[in-house]
Amino acid sequence: MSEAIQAPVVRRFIIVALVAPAFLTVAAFALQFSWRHDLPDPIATHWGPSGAADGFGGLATILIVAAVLGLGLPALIAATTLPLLVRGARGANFRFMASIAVGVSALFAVLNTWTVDMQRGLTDAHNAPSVFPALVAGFGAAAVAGVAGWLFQPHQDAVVPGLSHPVPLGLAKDERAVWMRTATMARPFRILLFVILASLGVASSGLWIGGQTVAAWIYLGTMALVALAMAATTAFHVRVDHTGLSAISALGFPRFGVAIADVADAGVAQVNGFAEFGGWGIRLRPGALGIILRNGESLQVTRRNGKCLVITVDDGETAAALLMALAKRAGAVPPVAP
Amino acid sequence: MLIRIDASSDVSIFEQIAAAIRTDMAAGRVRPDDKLPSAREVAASLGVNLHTVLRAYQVLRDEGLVDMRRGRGAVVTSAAGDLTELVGDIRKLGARAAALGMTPDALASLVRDSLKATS
Repeated sequence: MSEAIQAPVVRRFIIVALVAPAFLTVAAFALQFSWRHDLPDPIATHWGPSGAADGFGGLATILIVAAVLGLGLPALIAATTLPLLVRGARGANFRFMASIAVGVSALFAVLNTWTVDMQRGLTDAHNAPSVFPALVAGFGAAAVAGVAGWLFQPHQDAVVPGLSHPVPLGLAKDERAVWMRTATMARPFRILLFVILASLGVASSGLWIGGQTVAAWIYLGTMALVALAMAATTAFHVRVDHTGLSAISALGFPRFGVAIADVADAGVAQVNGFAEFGGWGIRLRPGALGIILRNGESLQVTRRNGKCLVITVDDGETAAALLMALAKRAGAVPPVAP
Repeated sequence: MLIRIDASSDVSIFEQIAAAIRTDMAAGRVRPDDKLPSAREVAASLGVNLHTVLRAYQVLRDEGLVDMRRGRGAVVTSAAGDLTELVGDIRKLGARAAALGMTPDALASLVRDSLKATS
């Protein structure tokens, strides 16, 4: 792929994910700052679920929060995604991440500016009107900015940089082979999930003691769901044998796989969950399903229809080498490309 | 963990399975505290008898490389880590032999003979 075709991808990503959010944030900041003499002191900075103001503070609070969220979140997205794009990675997911960045920025710019604007001329911020119109405008602006950001960027065919193809294992005619490995979630995620689970447990018993049985049941139900999700996605048994590739959750469900006759290609590449799949766990993105339990080495198997299964597992090189050898023997991978 | 078996080989299947797991331990691909896959799963994937796989696991247990516990399956012991270190020593020995102009086969037979002499 030539530089001339690829350059707009990176340039337009930067415009959508960084330049536009910076412009929106600075414009919102300037507007709100210019109204500083027309505002009550303190101003309303937080609204409760009923839509009425319930938190108050100085204009500085709103400005700082607006800058941190409106520019900080897009910067965080760009910081994880842009290095991969520069290295040559391509995919609809990158286009999507930039759209999210500008959408988030538009949400906070419009929401904050609107809530400050509606307090101009008030003497007491307690009389501030409902926040709902501002919320609607904010999410509306986010949707418009996100869609515009998506359309502004060119289409990208998926490219995985550094996808290496190990030499297929030399299997003797009658030789049988199996490769097995358990892929587990990175420790920080396991700890995080455990902490969430424990806090839900503490919260539900607290509510129970406090006599709020309904709320306690809701927390308990949430806890059960989190526990189930944990059990289903923290460990996968990955296996390559004459039937193909299979990845089965330690719970027994869900299970994924590629039949040997459906294997078109197998390789190994580094993967970054957040930048390439928008997070960790069982992730779907255009053209690929990911069992992304950590960042780093991953086994990438392409089906004959072009769709890819990505699994973060150690020693993926051996798995790919064996899978290709078995696929060749099964006649799934012809010596010449179809 | 990669297990390869060749039915046309003179070496019996259970020994081939045990050797494959031992090689993975030596290479550090299987580490202490790792759980070996269930014998049933290995047997199904390789198309061999369950008892053949269990016999391979028993060989490894007799060598102290795995611990077999009811309900927990076969767990790799710390001895597997020592095996990884041993491979480092073997590589050093191989490098010295190569410097002396010895082929790996000549070294292997020398090692075998000298071990027979001491035992």
